[in-house]
Amino acid sequence: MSSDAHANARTPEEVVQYKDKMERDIYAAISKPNWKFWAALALAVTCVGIGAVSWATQIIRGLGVTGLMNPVGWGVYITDFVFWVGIAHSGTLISAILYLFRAKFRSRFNRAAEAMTIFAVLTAGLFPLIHLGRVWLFYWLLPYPNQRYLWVNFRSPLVWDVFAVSTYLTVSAVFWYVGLIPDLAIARRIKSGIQKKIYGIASLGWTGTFKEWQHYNQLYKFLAALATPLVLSVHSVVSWDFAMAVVYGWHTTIFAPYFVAGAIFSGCAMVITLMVPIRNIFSLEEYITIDDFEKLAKLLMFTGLVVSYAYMIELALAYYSGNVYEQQQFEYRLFGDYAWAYWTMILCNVISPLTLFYRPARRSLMFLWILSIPINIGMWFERFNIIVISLAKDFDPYAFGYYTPSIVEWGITIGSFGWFFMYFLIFTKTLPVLSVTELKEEVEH
Amino acid sequence: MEYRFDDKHSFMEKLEEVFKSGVKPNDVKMVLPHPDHDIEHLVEEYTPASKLKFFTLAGGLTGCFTGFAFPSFTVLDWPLITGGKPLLSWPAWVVIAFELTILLGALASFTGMLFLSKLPRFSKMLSPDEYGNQYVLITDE
Amino acid sequence: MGFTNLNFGMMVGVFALVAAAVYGLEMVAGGTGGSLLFCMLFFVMLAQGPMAVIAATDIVKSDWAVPYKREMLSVHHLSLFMCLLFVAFFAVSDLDFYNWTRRDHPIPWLNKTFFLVRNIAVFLIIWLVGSKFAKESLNNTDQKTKWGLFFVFSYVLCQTIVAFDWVMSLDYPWISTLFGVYFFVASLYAGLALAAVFTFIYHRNEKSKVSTKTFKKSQMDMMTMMFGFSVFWAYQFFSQFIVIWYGNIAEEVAYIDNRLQDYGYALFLPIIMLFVVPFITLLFRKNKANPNVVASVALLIWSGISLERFFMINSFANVSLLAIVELALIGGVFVWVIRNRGDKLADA
Repeated sequence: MSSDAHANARTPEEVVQYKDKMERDIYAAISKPNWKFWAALALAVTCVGIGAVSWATQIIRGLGVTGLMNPVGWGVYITDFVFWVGIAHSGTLISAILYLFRAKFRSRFNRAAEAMTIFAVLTAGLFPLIHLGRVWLFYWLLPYPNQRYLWVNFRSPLVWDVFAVSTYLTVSAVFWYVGLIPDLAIARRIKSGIQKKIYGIASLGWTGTFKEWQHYNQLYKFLAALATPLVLSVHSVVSWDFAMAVVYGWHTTIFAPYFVAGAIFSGCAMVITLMVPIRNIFSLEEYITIDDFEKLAKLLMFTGLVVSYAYMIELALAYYSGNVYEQQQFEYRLFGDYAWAYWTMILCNVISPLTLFYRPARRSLMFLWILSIPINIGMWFERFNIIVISLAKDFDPYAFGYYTPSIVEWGITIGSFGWFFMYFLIFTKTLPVLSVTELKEEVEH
Repeated sequence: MEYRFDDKHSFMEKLEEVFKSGVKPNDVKMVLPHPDHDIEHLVEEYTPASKLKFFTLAGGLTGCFTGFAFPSFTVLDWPLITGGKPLLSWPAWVVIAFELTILLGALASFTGMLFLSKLPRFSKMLSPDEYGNQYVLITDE
Repeated sequence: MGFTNLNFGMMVGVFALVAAAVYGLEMVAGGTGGSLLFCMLFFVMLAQGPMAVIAATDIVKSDWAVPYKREMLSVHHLSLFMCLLFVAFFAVSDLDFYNWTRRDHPIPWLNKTFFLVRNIAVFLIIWLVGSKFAKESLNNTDQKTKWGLFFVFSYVLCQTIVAFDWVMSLDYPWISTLFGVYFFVASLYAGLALAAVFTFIYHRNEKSKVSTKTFKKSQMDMMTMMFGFSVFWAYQFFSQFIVIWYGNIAEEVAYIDNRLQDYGYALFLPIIMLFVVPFITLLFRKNKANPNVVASVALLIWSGISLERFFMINSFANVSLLAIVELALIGGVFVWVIRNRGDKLADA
């Protein structure tokens, strides 16, 4: 909240009035959408349609419609998977870790960031299924008693992934919903008609008694404490999908923290991409200030530096090891067939965040928003580089290859963006995009 | 008796007065517009803290145990060496156990909160008592 | 505890004297430098970790380390001492136990002169940046965030160089890209343990300080951080271990295998000392509030990290009983500086 508003809300009556105003302002977004919203939603749904058609094509004709071929068996789908899981991460980071650190600016972004987490995990979860080919057999990934007496291979990082990602989806959904309960109760009070009924049921009959708050506070703290190591673990497990394999460029110990930092980096960029327009469209300037965005920008800068450190260490140690295979792999990354992708990544992830050392850049929303786009792109390329480049030139020189994604893969990628934004658009019109309860709590402090 | 306050501090003064007179927090109803640490500290001087942690602990321990026991059971049920790893690959089980600890810990905490707060409360879903942004104290007197 | 001002020249003199004494001791006792390396690996954490904790809190503008600030920052000149010790170490060992000094390899990075120069350089950098940062932070100026950031950079650089040069190159050509992270995380952890030890000292000597609400809150936060780092330490330990275990490449697992042969399952003792015990102990609020408990945990953490460092180097750089004398000598300087340098800066 801006300091002005804080200073004005001093007398008890004014405090209550200010809280009422806050509710009105934030719930004002939950109203009949205008044509722009419908247009945006239509665009998102169209993209989902493109994705659906592409996937249908792949289901009917088989995985041959993709560009995947020996030696590159993992391509855009896995890149997209890691990308979306990465996007998901900053939601939990902003919510849980910043909650434990009692960083005030979290309450401006946590609701939207958590929503982003859930939708991004929902998107990410599709890709392993798409990549399976025979998607109707996806349940083979789950350990269940069956007539063949077979169990899944718990030593496989891919099975770890099933556990990690589904745990992540469940826990972040619970975390999000718990945070929403009191806000849903406010919606029940403010809204009327059918809306009142729906919000009433969703709020579980929350009344705001002391006992409820007491247990609620405990729960929120515990969920934050559980979600924090969970964030670290999920992207680490994703990184181990690669690092466990003995492939040059994949099998390296720094992968887990490096992926986590990268995930938070890309996720912060996505939060900026989403929150700058939301702030303008829903007129929330009073509640989300430039200062709050500046803190997010600093987080972006910091994680950008961590990612740069990891790039540097990887290159440095490949050189230091004196291992010619490792060295060649990195030479190929820097100067080989995919050099364009590698340098795009460096430009987007290493060079462009450095502009944030300049304070006016951190405080210009326009600049931040524009910057967030190349970072999203750069992080997509990071995963593409790791996955594709290492596979394209693996062990047997006879089998070296070049992978070009097919139109079906691009179609599904576009579909995934549509799928994500579709959910997000619906969210902005149905649920409060700011955590009203927490903002109100802050008025008192 | 129902007391309504706009102001947190006058609410807390009233609370303290009531508790000092020997009334237990369980005998009154307090409705707050949002959680507040000062009020929580005040009331917790007269009433025990939340028991939620036992739910979390139970869930977490169950998850941790399952995470080690279940993969061990499956590999012993059908012994099959894969990837040159021993049947009981503890480092791999750590990952599963960790995820299940978090999963069951979180779900148990959530269930615990619902149980302790007696939610969902169907009677209040559609026709709740609404006090807006005021602090409310309802006593039996 | 009483802080007195300490003349800078005299302090540097003592640094040089003790470094020379350590050198003489190693020479007289016929040491190889292994014991000194072991001591340096321990004290490099304490010379930098506590400051990194403060720098981190300054950067995020949180105030929970404030009651500890003066003491935690008082270590800043000790990086210079570490630099002198490093020179002594170089002179004693001539890097004999680094196998890359004996073999042909095409990597210019690994040569003695460059090794000496770059290590001195990073320690001088961190000393200069750290002194500047300590001054800004204690005087609470606007510049403290900026210098905090610079300090963190030099900290990461220095710890990475220490990890790669001093330890990882013993096993050359074995590599682990995580090794730098491994070291700076452990140093932060050791720095928080120093805060725990100070908690204990305050509780004995400064009753008026510890009874304030601010201090109690700060103590809880610092100990919660220490708890957090027990998890984080376990995480990065596991991240390195599982990649090596799973990859099962002969030259990679040799790092663990050789040590398993030398030390048996004691190799995994640090997991208990650095994760299991601190985690379970600090889970309870009551324990975090108890100065005796947190100080014991801190000592356990320091011993755990030292034990791990011992396992890392001992197969190559033999650690002898000399290490005890050196620990006492160097530790004495540390205690002396921390006791006497505490409030010099605030007036400067």
